[in-house]
Amino acid sequence: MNAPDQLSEALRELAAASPQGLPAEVGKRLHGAFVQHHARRRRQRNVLLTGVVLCVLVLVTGLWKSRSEQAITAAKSPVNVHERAGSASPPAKTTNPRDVEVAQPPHAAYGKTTRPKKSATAHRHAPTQTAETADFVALPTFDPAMQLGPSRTVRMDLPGTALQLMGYPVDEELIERRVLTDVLVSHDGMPYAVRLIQARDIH
Amino acid sequence: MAQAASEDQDLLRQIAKGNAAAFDLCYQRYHGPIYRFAWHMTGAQAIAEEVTQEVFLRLIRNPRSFDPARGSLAGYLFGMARNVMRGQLAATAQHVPLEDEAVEHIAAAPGGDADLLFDIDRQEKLDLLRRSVLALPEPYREAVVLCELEELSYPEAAAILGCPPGTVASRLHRARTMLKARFRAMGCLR
Repeated sequence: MNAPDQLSEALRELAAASPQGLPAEVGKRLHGAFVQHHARRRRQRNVLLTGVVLCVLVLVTGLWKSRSEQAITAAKSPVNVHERAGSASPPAKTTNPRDVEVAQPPHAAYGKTTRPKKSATAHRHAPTQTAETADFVALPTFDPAMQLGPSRTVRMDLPGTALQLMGYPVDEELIERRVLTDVLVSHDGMPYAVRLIQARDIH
Repeated sequence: MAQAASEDQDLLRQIAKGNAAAFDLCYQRYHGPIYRFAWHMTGAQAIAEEVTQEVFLRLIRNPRSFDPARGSLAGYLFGMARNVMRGQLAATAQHVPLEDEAVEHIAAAPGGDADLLFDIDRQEKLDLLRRSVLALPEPYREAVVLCELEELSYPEAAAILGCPPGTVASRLHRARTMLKARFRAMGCLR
């Protein structure tokens, strides 16, 4: 037997005589640490997940509320109020007086057609330009934030000055004329919007 | 001990998912070698226990840090044990020097028959050998412990030690030469 073999044999003996592992309690402790660690991680993950779900819920609720408010605001616009009121008078074929001619009377007695100028005031008080809102023009007395009760449409023959006093942006030509007008009146008698039907000269 | 890389990966994946059985299997498979490595390297049972526990605690905390592309799970754990051990030894500044008195005592013992490695009883022989291994400089000691005592291949040991297999072989050769010289000096080896 030579020296290297003797040394190898001795080293193998030393390896065999060495302790083979840790006591069993250490293994149990580590097992417990493993279980605890993952239980903690699961808790953290659940908390995180709950937080994310809550955030999403809050976001969705916020969006839903925002849309609801938009829908309510849209419902409060004069045209919708008009539709809700179920006005007895059928909507006239005239268009928004801000940018469209007042309906031309069939006889010349009513005078010439006018086209109100587009003023800044008119733009400010004008309802949204949609097909549905093209009829009425909101007056300054209309407050979109206020809840409207039942309303009705009253057709009146008004001088242009009266329209001006109500806050309607009246053209100079219309001031000296009478205008057949639909007025949207709330349940408390407050005019909220007007729709011009026909204009004629004052005699 | 060297397990297939895919098996190691699967084991680590299960551990990361919180599978306690996978962790137990990993512990059963590797705690012995890690503990023995630490014990042979430090010569202190308490430190070896702490090192082994710390290795597995680190594995519990961060099982995804193992990269199979860089070596086996065994190599990864040995490497971790090596780092922990260095930290522990640096913190405690504990060294286990070779007790020359014991060696001298053994050397002075009657040992005319040189055909045997030692003319002393088995326990004393192993104790002397263990102390002699501990007295080796760290790079040589690591080579002896990994390749001779834990029977890792050169490439496996090289992966743990972060050096080429040729370096491991030369360190081992040098370590064996040093051990033989020591035993010859004591008259225990022909």
